Amino acid sequence: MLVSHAWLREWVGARLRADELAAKLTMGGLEVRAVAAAGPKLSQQHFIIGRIAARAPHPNAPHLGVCEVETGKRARLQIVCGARNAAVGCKVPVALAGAKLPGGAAPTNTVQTRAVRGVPSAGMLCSATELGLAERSDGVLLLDDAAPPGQSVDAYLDLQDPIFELELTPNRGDCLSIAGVAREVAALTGGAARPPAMPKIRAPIDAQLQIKLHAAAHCPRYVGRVIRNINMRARTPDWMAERLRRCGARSRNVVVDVTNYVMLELGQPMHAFDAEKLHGGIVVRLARPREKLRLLDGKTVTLNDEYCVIADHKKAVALAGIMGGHNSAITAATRHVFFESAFFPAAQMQGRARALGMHTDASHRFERGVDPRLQARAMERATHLLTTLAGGEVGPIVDARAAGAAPKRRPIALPKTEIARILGVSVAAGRVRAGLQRLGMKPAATAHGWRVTPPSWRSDMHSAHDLIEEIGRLHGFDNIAPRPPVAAAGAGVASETRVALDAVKNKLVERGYREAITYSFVSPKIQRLLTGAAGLKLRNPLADNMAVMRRSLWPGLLGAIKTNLNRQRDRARLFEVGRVYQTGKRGAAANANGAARETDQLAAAATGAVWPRQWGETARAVDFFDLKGDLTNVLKLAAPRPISFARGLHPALHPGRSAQLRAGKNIIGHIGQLHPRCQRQLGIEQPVYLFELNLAAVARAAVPQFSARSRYPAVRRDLAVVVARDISARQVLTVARAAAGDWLVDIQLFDIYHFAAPDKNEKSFAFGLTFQAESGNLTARAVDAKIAAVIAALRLKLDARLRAA
Amino acid sequence: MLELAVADSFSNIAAGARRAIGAADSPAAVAALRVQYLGKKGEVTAQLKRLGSLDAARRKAAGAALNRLKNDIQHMLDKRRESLERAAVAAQLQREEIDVSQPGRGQTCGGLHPISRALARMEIIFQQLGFAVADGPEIEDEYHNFEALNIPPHHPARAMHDTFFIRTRGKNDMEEDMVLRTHTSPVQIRYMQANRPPLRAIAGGRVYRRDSDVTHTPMFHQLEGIAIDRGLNFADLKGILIHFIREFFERELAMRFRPSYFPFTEPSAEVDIACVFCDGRGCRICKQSGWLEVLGSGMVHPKVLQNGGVDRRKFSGYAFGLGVERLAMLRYGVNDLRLFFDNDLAFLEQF
Repeated sequence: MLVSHAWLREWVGARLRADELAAKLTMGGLEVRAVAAAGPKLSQQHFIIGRIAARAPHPNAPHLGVCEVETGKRARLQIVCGARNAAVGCKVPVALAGAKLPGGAAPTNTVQTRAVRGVPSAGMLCSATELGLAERSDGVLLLDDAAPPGQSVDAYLDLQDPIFELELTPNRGDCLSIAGVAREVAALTGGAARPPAMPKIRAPIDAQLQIKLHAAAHCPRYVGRVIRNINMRARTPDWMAERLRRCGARSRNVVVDVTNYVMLELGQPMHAFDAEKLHGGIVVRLARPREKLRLLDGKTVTLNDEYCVIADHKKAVALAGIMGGHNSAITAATRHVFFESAFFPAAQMQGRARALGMHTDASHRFERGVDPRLQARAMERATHLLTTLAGGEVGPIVDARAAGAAPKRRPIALPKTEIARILGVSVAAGRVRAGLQRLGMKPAATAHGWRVTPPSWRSDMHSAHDLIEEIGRLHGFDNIAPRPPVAAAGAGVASETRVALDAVKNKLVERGYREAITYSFVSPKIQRLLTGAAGLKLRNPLADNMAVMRRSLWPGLLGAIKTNLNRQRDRARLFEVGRVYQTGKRGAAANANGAARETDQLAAAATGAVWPRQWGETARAVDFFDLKGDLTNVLKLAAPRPISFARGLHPALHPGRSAQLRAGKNIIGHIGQLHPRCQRQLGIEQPVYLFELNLAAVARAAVPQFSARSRYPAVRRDLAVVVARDISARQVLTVARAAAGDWLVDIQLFDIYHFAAPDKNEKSFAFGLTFQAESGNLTARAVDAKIAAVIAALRLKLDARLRAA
Repeated sequence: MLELAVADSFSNIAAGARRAIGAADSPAAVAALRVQYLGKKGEVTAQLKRLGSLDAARRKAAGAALNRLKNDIQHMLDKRRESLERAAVAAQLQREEIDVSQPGRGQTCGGLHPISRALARMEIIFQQLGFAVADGPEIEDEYHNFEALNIPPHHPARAMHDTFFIRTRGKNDMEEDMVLRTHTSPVQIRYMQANRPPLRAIAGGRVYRRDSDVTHTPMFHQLEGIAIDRGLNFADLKGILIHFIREFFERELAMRFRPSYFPFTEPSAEVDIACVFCDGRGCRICKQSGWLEVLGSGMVHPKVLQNGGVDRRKFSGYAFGLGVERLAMLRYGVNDLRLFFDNDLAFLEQF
């Protein structure tokens, strides 16, 4: 909310400088986001008020006028002007030669004495836009008739008035007005609010509309009044138009400006109807199902019984608390006005405007709570302003109230001990009482503290905690001494069997991977391509490519890989730790809500050269086994549970270059080359290798246990065997290991050879076996026997033969 | 006296040996000369054998001279060998010299994302004070995300949260509306429900709001903290947050606690720190105010305690929530929030 310092000063006794006031408000909980002058700085010498004394047509340009302008003591100025509204007798802002117009760059923005189409012009008559006071404007800015010629425009309009931009929290609906902020300033500074005098209005005529409240919960109070025969041609005076402008409201016509002014001043949203467009009386009722109403802004809304409308005896004429109807709007032809000043409770207003895609100054205030006792006062204020500006005959106030529907304020018990228990500081009883009183509360002493009745405008006061917050606020949070923390003997050290996430990440970091963080929502198309299903849909996604919750970390990582490839980084190694979301199945592994299953996963992607480009190493593209090595390194953290690599298909992976990760029978992840088809569809131009696994699978480790090693010498023998192409390395090693007996302490595959000839359906494995006995030296003969057994077993089980030397 | 002829032949030998040893160009050549002069059939040895034919007086003199000759040659040989060996080592060293400015080989190290780096640091600071690390679902029900935190439906505070909704199949196969958690605060409720006070916990993680512009991303990270105990009050809240900021930034930064409003805490305070870029003097980053808003906090609202199953008459507590991106930006000088989720290596490599 925007608050004018000058306007506020009218309401508060304390004379505080703008920056001091801003600091007070901010530290009192009304955050001042910014303070800025109400308008640009207009030079006192160059921008002055002028009166158009005469106007003649321009001899060479029919659309221009040649004006004689009086500017106080100076001689009359001759100024050429194109604006049609620059009529004789008007008071207008004049920019003299040398004036720098706000906005626009020098020197084009500097006013000069020059000839316009052959007629000398000593300056210019300015529009609101040219003065930097409006985005758009029509013609020159017309000032009040009373504006004194020769006075500086800056001083006349008080453009250096500081404007506070308040960032109000939703609980402080009571501060959405000058009066409300003034109350708060008074409470924070210890001064007193001084509302301007509001004269009582006499009602000389008897014109009135009957008001019926048929929706008491939505509208427990409705104050209305008829004012006849107003002068719609009356101008909104400069002081009012400027206050509206600097508080962010546009001046429209005198009637609407008055209602907006009262709303800004007192916080009561009001509405004005053209009384001649209302039939019969006023009925406040719920909207009918699918009832349509065309609003002031020209849009038509379709309503239901969650909405309250103001109707006459034929039709709805306004959407309660949000916006008036088009059918009963004030126009230039309006003669009689019906003012509405009603109370619509916050609970019934909240969310309504938003559901229609609307947000108005009125709905903003009603949703945050308007003072339920303000309506008649606001009506009097509006009546006074309107009749002062536009005349009119005033009818009596009709104050319709639904019995028992007005909110009741119950006193709140405030135990004295509770204040220190929550704030950690003890505030003297006298200060508590005085502070509460400054906020308009009525504290009555009890045995243990107070019973506090909050004022009607503080709808946010419900419990002792609310009051304690107020006491803390007035005391100043900065005046509460901090108590340094003491470490609690709490959680203790994590078990050694728990693999820290940091350790997992560091394994990959050491191998050159960078951690990525990608969005949890991905494109459904890409997700379907990579996982075979679209996944959980967002009901209101921000964009089509962020419309489903990821089922895998790969869509995000591949997106990041692609981003980097596009930026000429053709070698990239990324990993991510994050959640994936599966459509929940009943029972199963659903989370506490039984709704969606969230699993923490670890995934990595690598593409391009295996090494960073460097001297002395032959450049080589990363392949399956590089990635497998990196993954195995991570898996080693999670001993003792063995995780095996088994063949298995995955929609995103090359069928011949992918594996499932298995822990026992559970599939806990996948590794492989991105399927060339997926790669093409993603627009990635080089192979990418990926893995992803459930983080829980590497979360547990064993505490190492020492076992004594033999001191006798080990014997190593190497074997090279030839097997059919479809025999896996693991099969060979498993058979060999089983046949080698207890002395075998290690077996290492050290060479794999695929015969070059394409028709040759065989390959060769070379591996080393290390034997060592627990007690005593092994003889060559004993080891030979074991090797023979290994060869025999391989021949028998895998049809392997020794490779010829 | 030594006979002239003998002396002559000795000095001839010496001169020959000096010449030969000087010309020897390898340790092997030196070894051959050693044999040639001092070996069993060597020239010096031959002279020694001849000593027997001399009379005692001359033998003594010749013997002494011969011994000197032998020692001289020995010495020359040793010197020559050493010099050759030194030269050989020097040659080897020279041959093997490398350009040590060439870069080292192998895999270069990767790195952690700045967000997880910052989050990890925050967790350590609180863990040292005995805070447990808690966790909660990101796909939340509206109860935990809003109602339990004292944010009823249609509350204006909800409008500020710009929530993402998800329709999922829940219990009994009924469709139900869930939300992507808009803050980490639901973990407060879950942790209170699952643990008895006194308790202290933090929960960091992803949160989601339907907002995307220069200063907003639809996903970001928060760290939530909650402590419930007998006698915890606002002074404790201030104490722990001052401690946290000092530890995180490793600096004493001025701080201020501004009254604010969160439905789930009361009293509530926004916490500002003196701008880390201008030390509070006012700059573009802090919009000339000298202050940066970094976190929200307050005393846990009695209704929230009640919803968490905590006896509000016996226990009180505080809670706080901070934006991890915001603090990471301040700590590492990152000037654009969106960089965090671009995953551009040029950015990631700086951490």
